[in-house]
Amino acid sequence: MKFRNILGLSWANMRRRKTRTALTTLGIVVGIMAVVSIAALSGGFEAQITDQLMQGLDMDILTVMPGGGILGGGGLTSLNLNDTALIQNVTGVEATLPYSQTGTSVYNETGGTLDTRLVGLNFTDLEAVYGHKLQFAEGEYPGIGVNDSCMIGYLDDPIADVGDNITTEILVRVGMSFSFVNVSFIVSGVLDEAGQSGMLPLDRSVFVPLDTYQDLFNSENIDMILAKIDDPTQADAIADEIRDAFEDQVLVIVPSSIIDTVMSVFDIMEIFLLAIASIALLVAGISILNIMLVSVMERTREIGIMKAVGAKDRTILSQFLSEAVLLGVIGGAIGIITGWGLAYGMGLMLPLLFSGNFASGFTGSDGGGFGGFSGSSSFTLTPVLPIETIFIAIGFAILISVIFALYPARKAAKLDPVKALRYE
Amino acid sequence: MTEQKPVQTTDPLKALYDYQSHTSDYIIETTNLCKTYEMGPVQVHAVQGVNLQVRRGEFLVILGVSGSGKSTLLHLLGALDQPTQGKVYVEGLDLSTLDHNKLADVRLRRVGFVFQFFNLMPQLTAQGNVELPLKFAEVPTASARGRARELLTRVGLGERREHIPSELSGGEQQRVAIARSLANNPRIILADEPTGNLDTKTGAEIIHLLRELNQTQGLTFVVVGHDQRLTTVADRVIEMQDGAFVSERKGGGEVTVQ
Ligand SMILES: Nc1ncnc2c1ncn2[C@@H]1O[C@H](COP(=O)(O)OP(=O)(O)OP(=O)(O)O)[C@@H](O)[C@H]1O
Ligand SMILES: [Mg+2]
Repeated sequence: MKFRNILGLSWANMRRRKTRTALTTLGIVVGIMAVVSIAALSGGFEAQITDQLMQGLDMDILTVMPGGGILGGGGLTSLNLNDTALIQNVTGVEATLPYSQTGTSVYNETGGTLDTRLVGLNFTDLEAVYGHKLQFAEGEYPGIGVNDSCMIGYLDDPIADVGDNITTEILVRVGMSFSFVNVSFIVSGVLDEAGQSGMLPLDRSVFVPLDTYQDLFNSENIDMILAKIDDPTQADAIADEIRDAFEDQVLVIVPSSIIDTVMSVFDIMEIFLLAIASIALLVAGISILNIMLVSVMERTREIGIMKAVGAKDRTILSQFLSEAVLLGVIGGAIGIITGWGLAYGMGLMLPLLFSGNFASGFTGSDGGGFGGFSGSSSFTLTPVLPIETIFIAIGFAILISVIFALYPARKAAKLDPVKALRYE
Repeated sequence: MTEQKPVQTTDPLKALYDYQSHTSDYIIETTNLCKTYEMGPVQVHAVQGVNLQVRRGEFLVILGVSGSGKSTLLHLLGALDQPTQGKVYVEGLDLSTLDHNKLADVRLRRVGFVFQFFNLMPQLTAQGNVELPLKFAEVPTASARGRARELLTRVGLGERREHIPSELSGGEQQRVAIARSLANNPRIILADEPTGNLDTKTGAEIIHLLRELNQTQGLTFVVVGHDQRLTTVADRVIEMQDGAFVSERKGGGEVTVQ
């Protein structure tokens, strides 16, 4: 029998029991709806987060840190200024910014305090790497060779103006003992808001010359070296060259790898959620199995008739399987549409539900941290449903329907025609 | 009556028939045909030792009380059931040599069944029911439609094609079933109490129709049942009892029935 005719007969059979067909389809609809809405929401979420990370991370800045080595063993324990030359030599690297930092508290002249980080760096390096992001609210960089000046990153509520003194208390090691030392700096410049800036937060930080910093802590070491590269698409290759330059004794962080890591966490979450949603599909499959078995029993006589007038076993088999395919296609299509609708609705609802804690939780307390959402008001979630997902969902719906229809369909095909005709 | 249009599909049995058909003069033949049902320790001999020869174009009627094995025999002749012993030859072809699919082809193209309870597909219209075996035979849609229309007109249901069985009277349903049995142009029609579920007048009309098809188309009929009027049109009447033939006589041979 031709496929078109088989489908036609299936359609007639399904129309005959509209309520039952609708209920069987509903199972598939719910299962696919769950899968599709989860896929669409997490797709939207991923797109959103990638977007935010891309903004927060400067894709053209690599971070070089001590460490590396093979299997976590070995690797440099520290970097120093000479190491910048090695990095600078790698083709594709435009500028380097070595810096060290430490968490600290800063006091102004009127007793106001700020928990912040003290960053030691060369301001010419900073200008070379982050110049495009930096704008002074007032003042300028501390002059070259000036040891007692500092620059303050953007603060909602500025702690000091240009010309003011600020004091910071730092823990210093002298010989075998540690002691707190108060150090004062004259503010030479205050920055405007720079926004997110990857590993080195520009806002809320206090910057001092690297020499001063190293003198204070009595150390030649630097914590990290940022490398600005000319072509972000070559980031991985340039990172490899830097690692080679250090004989694999350093860690080089490529911004896109951070995105990849975050995404892989989301992928695991998504797979987990999808696995849960597939249980709905499994239940739908079992209900198809159940209903098809009833249907085969009810239609025993018809199966006998079809065989008596010359239907082959495989005709009967494909008859029932094609009904399952139709169920899958219809249920899958409706499931995709409703699943998309559900995801869209939830995308609109989510920001309302979480506008308080959710967004601010991501924004973090230091406005400069990477990957934070830029603000609660701008947080919306648009579901993303790639065309592949649509095909996969339909395919899955059909697959589930057919798998669970296989047993009843075989049962129908194997019916003895004489017994089937005598069946009341 | 116009001559039946040949249906343009390939018959997978054709080669087998061409090879074997010369071996027998009879369109249907059985040798020592037996069908035994095991009912626990009891054996039910539904058909036992039947030797039957049906001539081409014959109108054969088999009578017998309920339970005498008429339906079982008919199912064996029509490749719907397999004997426990003995052989059936349909147009010279030994059914015991055929696999499942080939047996289905015999039912599809070589014999047509007509049943007491009509056995129409309830969800299909008269037209759809007649088209069904044509679709199984993969006859192109347009020719199947035309053929079904032509057959329904021939059995007098030209106007009721688009009705489903529940909208038709018993007589009309049986006419649809007869049209369906003719779909793929078989030379043999097997009818199981075709009038058993009809009133006297309608039953007579159906018998008349069968005899007419037999006379005009040269179709071979094996009709089983209780209806005595069948004997008036029959060429030959066989009496069956407890699964075996007990007597045989010439039928009335009349062309019409009152
Ligand atoms: N599947 C079966 N299992 C056991 N016995 C069966 C089976 N089918 C038929 N029989 C028995 O075989 C015998 C013949 O049955 P069959 O239906 O052929 O009779 P029949 O002559 O057609 O009767 P009726 O006029 O009532 O239709 C009966 O005794 C019946 O009980
Ligand atoms: Mg019977």
